[in-house]
Amino acid sequence: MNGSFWLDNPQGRASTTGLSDAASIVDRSRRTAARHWSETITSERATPRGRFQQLTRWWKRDTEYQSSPTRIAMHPAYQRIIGMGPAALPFILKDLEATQAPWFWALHAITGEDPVPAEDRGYIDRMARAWVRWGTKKNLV
Amino acid sequence: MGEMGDEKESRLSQLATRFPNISRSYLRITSPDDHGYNCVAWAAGDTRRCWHPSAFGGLFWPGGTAADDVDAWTRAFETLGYTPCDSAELESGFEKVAIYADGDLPLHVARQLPTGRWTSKLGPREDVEHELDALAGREYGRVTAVLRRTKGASGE
Repeated sequence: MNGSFWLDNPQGRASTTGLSDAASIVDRSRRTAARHWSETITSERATPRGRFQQLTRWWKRDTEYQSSPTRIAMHPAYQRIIGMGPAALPFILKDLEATQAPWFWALHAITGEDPVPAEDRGYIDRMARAWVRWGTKKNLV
Repeated sequence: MGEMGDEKESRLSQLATRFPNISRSYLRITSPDDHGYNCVAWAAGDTRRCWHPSAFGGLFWPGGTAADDVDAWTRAFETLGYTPCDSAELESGFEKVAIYADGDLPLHVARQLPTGRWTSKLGPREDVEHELDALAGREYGRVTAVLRRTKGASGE
């Protein structure tokens, strides 16, 4: 008896047959790390797409009932997406096209442009279409 | 009926986590979600657009972009015939709107119904009928301005 759950765990012992105790620990740690990488948000944070998706989930959850576009845009996750700069544009435009979420502030902040005609201001579907058209012209969609 | 009732109960429970006053106040969901209009538009009687004064948001605002403060929201409703008043109580012959704010940052606006209760659009989610205090709190702040206009002044 060495008091270690890992080493006394029959399942764990079966999966590392032929390895020394020390090697079993290293092997199991390696597999745990690999599983953690593939199954948790660790991998999401490693790519711009993953970072965008994680921040977007956080932002949408927290601002689900917010009425103020200022508060919505000042949310830390939204600000971090703006901080991603042009790299975020393809992801923003794709989400805008799919959900019509209020990305206009971020798009304007990142690009300095506003392709929405004055008469379409406030019409969310028209505004989304104008930005997606703009993105298509720029090869971002 | 059971399933619909369960769904509404579940939505109300979710709402209560954001608006704790609901537990001791009246609130009823009156529409499905719709992100095509927001609280300001709903209070102003517009269900086709979102209204907001910020130049960054790119939304509609009467008279064009403005600072996002209680004064600007008040002026917008003044263009619709409203004038500031002191009381949120129901007054015969008048319709009212109430602006919720955190300090000088306006966060929400509700419109009074003929019953004396209020109607609100909750961000991109549902319309609700409620008592004024039901929505006060962390999400929307507190009522800092009330405006009224003569009934029928909108020309509707």
